[in-house]
Parts: sequence; structure tokens; C-alpha cells
Amino acid sequence: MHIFNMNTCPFLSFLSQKHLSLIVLILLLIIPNMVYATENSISTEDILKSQQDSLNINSFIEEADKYTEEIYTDIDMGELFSSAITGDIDNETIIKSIFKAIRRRSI
Amino acid sequence: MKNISEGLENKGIAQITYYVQYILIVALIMTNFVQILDIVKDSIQSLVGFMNSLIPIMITLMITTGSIVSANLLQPIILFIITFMGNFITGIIIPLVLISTSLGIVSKISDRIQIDKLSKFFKSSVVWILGVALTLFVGIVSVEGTLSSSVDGVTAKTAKAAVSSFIPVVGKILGDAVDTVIGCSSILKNATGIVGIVILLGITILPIVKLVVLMAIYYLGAALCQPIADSKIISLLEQMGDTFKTLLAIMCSISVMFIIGTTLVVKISNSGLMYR
Repeated sequence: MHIFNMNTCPFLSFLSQKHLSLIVLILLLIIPNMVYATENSISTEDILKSQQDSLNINSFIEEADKYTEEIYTDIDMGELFSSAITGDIDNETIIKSIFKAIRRRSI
Repeated sequence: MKNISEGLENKGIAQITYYVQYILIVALIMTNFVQILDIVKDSIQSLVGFMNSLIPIMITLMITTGSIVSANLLQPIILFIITFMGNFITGIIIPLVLISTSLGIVSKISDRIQIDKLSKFFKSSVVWILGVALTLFVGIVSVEGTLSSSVDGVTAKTAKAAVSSFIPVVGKILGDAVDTVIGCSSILKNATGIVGIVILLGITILPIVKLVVLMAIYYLGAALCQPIADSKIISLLEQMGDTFKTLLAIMCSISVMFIIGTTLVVKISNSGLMYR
């Protein structure tokens, strides 16, 4: 039994059912790859920023800064957090700050 | 002072002179001891306060990475242990150290009253309690975390496979988008954990250094004074060195406990992500 009546439809009259099936199959294969959601309209930085805002991480960083403002005078916790996100933590500055604080307290 | 008190002919006066100089030394030591006790208490309270603000945010970030079972299991355990340990140390352990030190000082005054063993018993009890608490905490958190992270990983993988297969057209895209969001949450969680550990180090490092220095000074003082001072004064200085060593053990164990706790929270949800 035919899905379309090929004789009555002028557009489809020149196509055989085999051709039509092939076209439908090709369309089915192509359509899922044409979803616009895959475009880089939202970058990873944007997602990180929005999550940071929605989870209120900035206020946590500000709160955390209060605990160590006397010890880590050279380190801004916001900067440390940003560098931790990119995986580029400056260990030397942290160690230097600790030694500086120890020296300051010892004297 | 020892020569002067020994040079006195009247034994009673010599004894009183000894007591006076002993009380003077004890008064000097106790001023130092009370200051350091306050520092240790403040540091522990700061540690507990900071952990109470760090753990909820870490747990929230764990949930956003899909580690729901781990988060539900770990949050009550970690928060309970942190609060319990903070109160236990400030309410029971530190008073025990104080009692032990007092007993040690009293037992050095006279040859007749000897309560040195009781003082040592309290000190060794403190060390044992801390050791058991640390082992239990690390054991429970790591075992439960390992089990729950596997469950989370498999659940998330199954959910992603179901979404990709059963939702027509956008299923795969949806799964990939969720993966991206989870990956970002994981990055945020790791960064928060690193900041947390750096802050924990900052809170604990100064009291630890102070205790190390004081412990070294008292032991060195005892060693240097041995040829010239009375044996009881020497054992008093040694006793204070031991007390600072116990306080150092308290500070080290609680800071290690919190640092390991934070690291485990970071690691557990990361191992759940490995299943993807």
C-alpha cells in the first residue's frame, strides 16, 4: 500500500517510491546534526560565571578572606580562586606569604 | 637561687625560699600557657566556623556535579564531626590538658605528693582520643565516599545514556549540555576546595609554628638549665614542653582532619565523574 498517491500529486509524480524512501532516509540522517544548540553561543566562561553567581561563591570568597587577611596580606582570595579555575596557582606567592606572616609574628 | 636557698641554715626558710622561686617560675610559665591556650581555642573556633561555611558550598557544588548520593551521605557526617570535634576539643580535651598540666606542676612542688602518673595518664588519653577520632573520621568519610561515588557515577551514566537514547532529536545534545554544565561545576568545586585548603593552612599555620617554637624553647631551656638548676625545675620545664607538644598534636590533628575532609569531598565527586 502506498503512502502517497504519486499519480495525483504533481510534485511527486516523477519520483518513484524508492527515490522517496531514500530522500526521507537522508533527511532523517541530516536533521539531528543540524541542531543549533551545538553552536558556541554560550562559552565555558559564561557557564562558570553564571554558576558562580547563582551559587553565591563570591560572597563565600569574601567571607573566607576575613579569616586570613592578617596572614595572606599579598594574596587576594578572588584572584586565587580565578587562578584555581584555570589551574594556574602561584604556589610561590602562597609560600612566601606564609613565611612572611611567620617572620612578622616571630619578631 | 638554688645556692642561696641551700646556703640558708634554717631548713624551713630554705623550703619557703624554694617555694617562692618555684611559684615565680610557674607564674611566668602559666602566663605563657594561658596565652597559647587562648590562641589554640581561637584557631579551633575559626577552623570550625570556616568549615561550617565551606562544607555547605562544597556539598551544593557536589550536588550540581551529580553526586547526589555522596552529598546526602557526607553532609551530615562531615558537619556533625566538625561541630562535634570543635566542641569536644574546646570543652573536654583542652580542659583535660589544663588539668594534666596543673597536676604536673603540683606534683613538682613537694616530694611527698606525687600525682605525676595521673598527669601522664590524662596526656596519653588526649593523644589516644585524638588518634581514634582522626582514624574514624578519615575511615568513615573515605569508605562511604568511595561507595557512594560509584553509585553516583553509574546513576549519572545511566541517566545520560537514557536521555541520549530515548529523547528524540535533541537527546544527545541535551546529554552533552548537561555534561558541560557538570564539568563547569566540577571545576568550580575543585577551585573552591583549593581556596578552602589554602585558608585552612593560613588559619592553622601560625598557632602551629608558635607551639613548635615554644615546645623547642622549653625543651632547650630544660636541657641548658640541667647543670645549674634544681631537678624539679628541670622536670617542670620538661612537663611544659610536653604540654605544648600535646597542644601541638591537637592543632595538627584537627587541621589535618579538616584538610583531609575537604580533599576527600573534592576527590569523591571527582571519582564519580570518572564513570562518564
